[in-house]
Amino acid sequence: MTDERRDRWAEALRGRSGAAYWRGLEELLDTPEFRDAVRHEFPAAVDEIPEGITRRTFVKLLGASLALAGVSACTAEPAEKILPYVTQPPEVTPGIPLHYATSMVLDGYATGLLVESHAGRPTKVEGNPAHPASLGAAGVYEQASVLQLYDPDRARVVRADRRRSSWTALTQALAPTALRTHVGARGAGLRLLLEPTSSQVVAELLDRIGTLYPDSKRYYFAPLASGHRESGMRAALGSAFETQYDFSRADVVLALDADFLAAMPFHLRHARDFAQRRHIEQPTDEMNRLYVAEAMLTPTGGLADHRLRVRASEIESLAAAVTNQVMGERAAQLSNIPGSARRAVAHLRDAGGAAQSPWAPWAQAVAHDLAEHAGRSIVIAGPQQSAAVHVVVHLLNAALGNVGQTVWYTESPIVEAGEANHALAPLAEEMRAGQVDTLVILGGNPAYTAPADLDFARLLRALPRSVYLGLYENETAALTHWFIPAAHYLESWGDARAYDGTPSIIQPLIAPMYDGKTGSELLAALAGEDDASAHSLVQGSWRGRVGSANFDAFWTDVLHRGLVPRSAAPRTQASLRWRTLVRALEQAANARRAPAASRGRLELAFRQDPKVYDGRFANVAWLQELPAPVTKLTWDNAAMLSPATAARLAVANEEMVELGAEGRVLRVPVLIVPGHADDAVTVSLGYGRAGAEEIARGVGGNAYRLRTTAAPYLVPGATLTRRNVGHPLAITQMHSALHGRAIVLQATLEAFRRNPRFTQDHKGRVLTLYQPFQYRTGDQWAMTIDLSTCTGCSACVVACQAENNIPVVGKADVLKGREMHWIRIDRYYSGTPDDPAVVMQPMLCQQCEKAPCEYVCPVNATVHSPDGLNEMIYNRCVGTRFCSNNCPYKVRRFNWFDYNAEITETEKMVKNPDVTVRGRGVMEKCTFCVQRIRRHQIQAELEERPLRPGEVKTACQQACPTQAIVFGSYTDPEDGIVRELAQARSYAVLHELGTQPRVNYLARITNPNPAMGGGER
Amino acid sequence: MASPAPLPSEAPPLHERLVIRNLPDNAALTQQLLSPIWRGGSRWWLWPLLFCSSGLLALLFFVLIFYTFAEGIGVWGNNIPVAWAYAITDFVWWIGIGHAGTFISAFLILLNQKWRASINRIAEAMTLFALVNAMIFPVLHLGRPWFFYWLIPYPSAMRVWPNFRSALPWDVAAISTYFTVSLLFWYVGLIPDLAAVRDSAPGAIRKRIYGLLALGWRGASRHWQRYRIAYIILAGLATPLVISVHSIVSLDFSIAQLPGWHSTIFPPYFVVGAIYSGFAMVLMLILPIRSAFGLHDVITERHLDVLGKMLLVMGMLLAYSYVCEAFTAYYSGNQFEQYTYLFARPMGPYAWVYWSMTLCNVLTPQIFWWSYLRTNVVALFCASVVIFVAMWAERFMLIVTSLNRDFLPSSWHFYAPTWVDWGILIGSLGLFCFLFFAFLRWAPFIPLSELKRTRFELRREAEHGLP
Amino acid sequence: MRPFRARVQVMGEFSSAEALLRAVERLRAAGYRRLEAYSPFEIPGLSAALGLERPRLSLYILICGLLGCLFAYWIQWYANVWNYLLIVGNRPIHPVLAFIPATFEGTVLGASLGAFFGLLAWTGLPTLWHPVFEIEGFERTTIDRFWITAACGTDERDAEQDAEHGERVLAELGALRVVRLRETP
Repeated sequence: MTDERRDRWAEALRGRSGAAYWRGLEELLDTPEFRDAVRHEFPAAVDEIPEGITRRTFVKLLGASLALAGVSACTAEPAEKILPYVTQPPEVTPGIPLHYATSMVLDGYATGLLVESHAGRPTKVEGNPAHPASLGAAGVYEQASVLQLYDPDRARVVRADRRRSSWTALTQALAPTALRTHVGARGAGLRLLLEPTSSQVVAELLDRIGTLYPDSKRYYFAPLASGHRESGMRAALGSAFETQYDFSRADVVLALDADFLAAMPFHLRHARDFAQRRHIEQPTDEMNRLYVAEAMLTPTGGLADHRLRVRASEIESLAAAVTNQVMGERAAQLSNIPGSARRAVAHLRDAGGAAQSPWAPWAQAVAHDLAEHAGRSIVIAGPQQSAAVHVVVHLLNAALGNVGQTVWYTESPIVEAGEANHALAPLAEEMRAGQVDTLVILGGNPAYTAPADLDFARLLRALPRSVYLGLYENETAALTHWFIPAAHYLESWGDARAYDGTPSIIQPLIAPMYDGKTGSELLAALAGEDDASAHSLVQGSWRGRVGSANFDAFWTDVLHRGLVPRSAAPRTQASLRWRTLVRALEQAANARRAPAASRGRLELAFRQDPKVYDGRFANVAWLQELPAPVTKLTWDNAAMLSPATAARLAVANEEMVELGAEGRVLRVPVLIVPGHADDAVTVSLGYGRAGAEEIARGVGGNAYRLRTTAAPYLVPGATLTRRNVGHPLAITQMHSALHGRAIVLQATLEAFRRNPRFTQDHKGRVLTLYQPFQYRTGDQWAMTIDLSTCTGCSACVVACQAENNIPVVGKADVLKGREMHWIRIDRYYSGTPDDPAVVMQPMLCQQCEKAPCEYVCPVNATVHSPDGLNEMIYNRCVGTRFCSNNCPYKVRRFNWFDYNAEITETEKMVKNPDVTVRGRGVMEKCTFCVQRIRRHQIQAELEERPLRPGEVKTACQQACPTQAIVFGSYTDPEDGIVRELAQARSYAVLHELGTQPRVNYLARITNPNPAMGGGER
Repeated sequence: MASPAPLPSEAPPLHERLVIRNLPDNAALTQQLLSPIWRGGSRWWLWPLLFCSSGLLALLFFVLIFYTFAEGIGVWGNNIPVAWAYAITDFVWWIGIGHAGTFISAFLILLNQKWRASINRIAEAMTLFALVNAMIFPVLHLGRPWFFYWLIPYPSAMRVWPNFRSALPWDVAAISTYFTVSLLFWYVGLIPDLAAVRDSAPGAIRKRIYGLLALGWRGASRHWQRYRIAYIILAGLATPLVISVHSIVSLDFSIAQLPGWHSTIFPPYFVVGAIYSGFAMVLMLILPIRSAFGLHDVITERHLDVLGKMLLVMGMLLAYSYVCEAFTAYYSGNQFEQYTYLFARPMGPYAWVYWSMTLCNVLTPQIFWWSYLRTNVVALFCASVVIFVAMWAERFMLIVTSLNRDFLPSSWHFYAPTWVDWGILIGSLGLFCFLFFAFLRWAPFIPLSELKRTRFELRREAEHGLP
Repeated sequence: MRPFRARVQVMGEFSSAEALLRAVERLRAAGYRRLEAYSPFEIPGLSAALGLERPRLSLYILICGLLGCLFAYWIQWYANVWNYLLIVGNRPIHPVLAFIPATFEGTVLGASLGAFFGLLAWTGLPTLWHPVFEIEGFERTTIDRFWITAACGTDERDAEQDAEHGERVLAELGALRVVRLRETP
């Protein structure tokens, strides 16, 4: 932006403050410069732009000034009565945070949350222990969403044809009288495009719109909500049910390209149940066994006892092979299965050439193991797998007698689940045919996520009228006539249902900062109820359902709890529909007969990104800088290949290549991933954003460009051509071999049973010259981390970042090795690079009793507290960095620059007031969330009681879905930590150094199948 | 400039040759050695050139220091795990260079080495200016340099004190002491010569300035007596000090448990390395001075010979340290030590630094087994430059290769310097040169009275055959 | 120690250290006790010939060193052991070994400062003016000239006679120049 323009800004803003700024801006808002600025410069006031830490003064001025206005709007509580979580006192005490229960919705499925609010500012998102989808844990998306709330790039103004407009103007334009003139009396030209939703309010509003405009149509589209699951379900069971699993009762689990521990809906709950059977204490304990077949290494695959790396396309015949054998072994019990089905399965198996496949014995052994654990096993397939796979899996679970035991079916909470209108293609067809006059888009970002073959962007631009409700001025917003800033879910009233059908109310923590609107409000406007607030809509809808008799009590209770208790969907009696099932299988088999992926060409798979999901979180700096669970990649996506394939194609790491599919190309850097299937390449969706989101823009490549309606997850014949240019990838872990060091201890279950004390040499006291200080009295804090159940999902990393005000440094500094995460997840490979064993190890300050960092600090800036904490005194630190040099675990982080100097006022509001924001030149590190310890100690003192066991939870422990992290005081015999520390498999990393860590790890126990040469790990 | 006086054909073996030979009488000698101060020497026009070039580099140094202060240490290449790199390398390097000065003047006076006289002042000045640089770096490399004084014990309301269990406050004590003592030693040595400058100075102003500096020295025998006592005691104090300083610097590393740092051989190893690099620096300085000022009779082959031998001895000691270090690592059976010494360094990402510096430091001095090369100006100078650079590389190797691959492979990370790192290193050389040129220009850089005394003693020995 | 002063002195200038030493012997033989010599460099054996007694400078320096030592140890002990106690890396509260390096440095610093200021004290420097500077040509003393000074005046002879005698002696010794220095009362 030129100087004279900047001067005009300065002119406009001079002498104004707080709300006055608004006026100062509004005077400018209609100038072309401003609209230009809105599109290009506005969002630039960000925590960190990828290229580094420089910032333009103009942007500072603008960001700060607008944000100031934000502040005035922001500390205000919502007008309506919102109610804190049940365990909290209802009145606000300054300095004491309150927790409110609400829910976050992802592709229609709700996850119950507790949000910490400091004086009206939501600062941290945690799981709701009472909610079935969370049980107190929270994933990376949920936790990072609070940063999105304060994102300075969020849209702030209602637009009509690039001009600033207003909500009232819009509601008038959408009022039936006005709209009918365009879309016809029966609304033939009206189309709605929503994300899949489970909201009862939305459903009712849609019905009302349906009656108002009988000929209007509505569509649901989310790039990652595949139709495969539903169509498979319909073919197998006749209706789009939801499959429910109880992993806590499964002895054997077979995951077919299914990352059910970290990526699929309800994964927090699944992970918790699964971990129950993984966390063993006595050698006599039983543990479950996990088989995973997948192409790209996922957290689930990393935890597997036997992981088979296969291309996603092979899963079909693999599943068929397993099913076939199971049916064979359990023929006696399976008299009811018709021969046609048996033949179809065999057919499908052979179509994929199972017999010749190298994995045939694997499939055989797995099938045998499953058959032996019939009724106590689970087979689960990933949503991106074909309908046929899902069909087979339903058949297999039935054949194993799991249905009704570990697997059952319920009605789907999703509105119109499995209907034909859960797709974008028909809408695009109508748009192309010119049948659409007005398109109303609620959320999502179809212009960016739509399959490339639909050419949706062009169709959208060509529409006479389009309305878009979104958080950002993104790709879609740039093409629509009307734009309405959406309210963040922490600003909105609403309702939603969890995967298991449990309904919960979404209550706002804060009044909309930028006058954002909810989808329900926009729909209400369409339905002609333009003054209806989301709150009244939700309340009205629920009053209608529970009756107004004791509604207030119900409402209060639901808001307190965050869910409607005991309301999970009931099991439905679903039985296999043999005819449709067989037809589906035969079709798949015949499709396979047609020449599949010709050898030598690559099989391109798209995957949900573990950090930005489908791209909606691309502007959340925490997630961009979060090392991806397995690859440790930040600030990018990449073409992920197996070492062998990379060698075959003669491509190197961090080399730019061009992926081609059906004439479309995508430039991405190569990332070689051990354990990836050969002749296949995996790319994350959600990058290469081109919207007005400053952080997201230009990060990675947009894989949607290669995605088609026909092949949404798998492109059989992709090409890869070298570009001979490098592209450095910011990866946080360079070395993955253990070099024979006693860092991660693991044993098979048999080995553990043979020698339960195999960690003996790695724990206990070591010889010392000095008489060590005796930590006996008072609370003595300690932590254990169970490597058997850590999936590496990285929820703890985000939790720590949110709790401890950890800055984001940007790609340039990550490349230099300056990321700031206090807890990192080390990933080690063992075995061959082609098919390695993986182990995840969360690494944080070990709180050594004999801390090497302390005695080298010249100014006593890091010393020990009597309760065993290795304390860091930021304002005493002069930054010699000797402590980091002497830390054998390298968990200390240094503020190379003033990373907090240039964040905007809105971003400051996400900071946790209980934790110092560190300045330039000081060292920092994990403190066991000392602020939480001290808060609870003070509370206990006020209540004249000792701390209760397990009362203090660290942020990482709280977020962990598998409860791998246990924290407490070992001087309290009641405390769970005592038991964990006493476990046979506990040990200290680098024990021989004599640092006496307060963090102990529980050696990883795997349970390989002896029949498969299980001893090898 | 005077060409080296031809040696008599039947030249005696080097070690028997004169420390100084056929000098003019005292008056002429004084004239010869002091006239540069007044007239800038035979090549007076060189001075502005030298001052400008070195001055510009020194300016670069200070600009980059300011830049680092303003932006943060992030402008360097450092990271986690390599939190120390260039700044500390430069620091150890400079302080090491400083050691030869004190070693020459203090050690040799105690051992009554006559050849010391001609070069000790140059060596002492080198020490001082090297220390000036060495003292800048520890402060500069702090994350918050404006709080450097927190390392010094002073009564504060918060009752926060330095932690004397850490080696860094030892450093502060050692370096500040070393600088003070070196300064005193240098100045005390200067006093009689400053008086000589005063008495031969043209013009009242110069007389006054040097007169003040000379404190009114008049060469009274009572003064000479006390002077001798104080000077010898200072020498006696400086000698253990010089050993202690680099030992303490070495403790900065060996106090840590990092493989490659945590080693008991460090103190002697560092002291040897320091004196080694120091002697190289001395040679790099006196060889040009010798020819530029035509001091072949003052700084004779005998000096070059002795310095050459010193390089050889120190080089051998250093080689021994290398071997000893590696063997200890191997013999310890400690997998981390073994990895660092036997894999990370010789085969790791910095292997080329490791091998080049080892070969340079160990092989270069071997040429001085030949007496001819020990007096060959070119050979001496080149060898010195090689050693001078290689010793910097040694410190870099020692610091960075230990840090970039320590205990947990997950945290291993490469280190690459930025242009700022380079600029600061080069700039510090500029500052050193600037100060040193100023010293050459305006101070008596050959100790006159010492020289005269040495000549008097030598003559007396020659007459009375006294030892 | 009081610098050499007398009301009347005879001074002789010589061109070599040997001549100076001879003059010293001769004058002492002639009964002159309070002598002082000036030379461009320290002449070994001269102070013995002049019969100067050894000053207490060394002892004083030793004391300074000990004070430095005590202070250095005390400040460390006071800071880390007494005034503010912290658990640091589980090391002993009173880590004697860790205090040694700084203590050593303190000792050396104390002694060195002692040596320097002791030198100034025992030589009375800085003394920017001294009567001898008034003698024309004395500035060559720091370059290549040697002077001997004898204080005149004994119980037998008064100062003037004594000075004349001294001048004769110096002339016999072949002094380049003989000067009588009178201190203005």
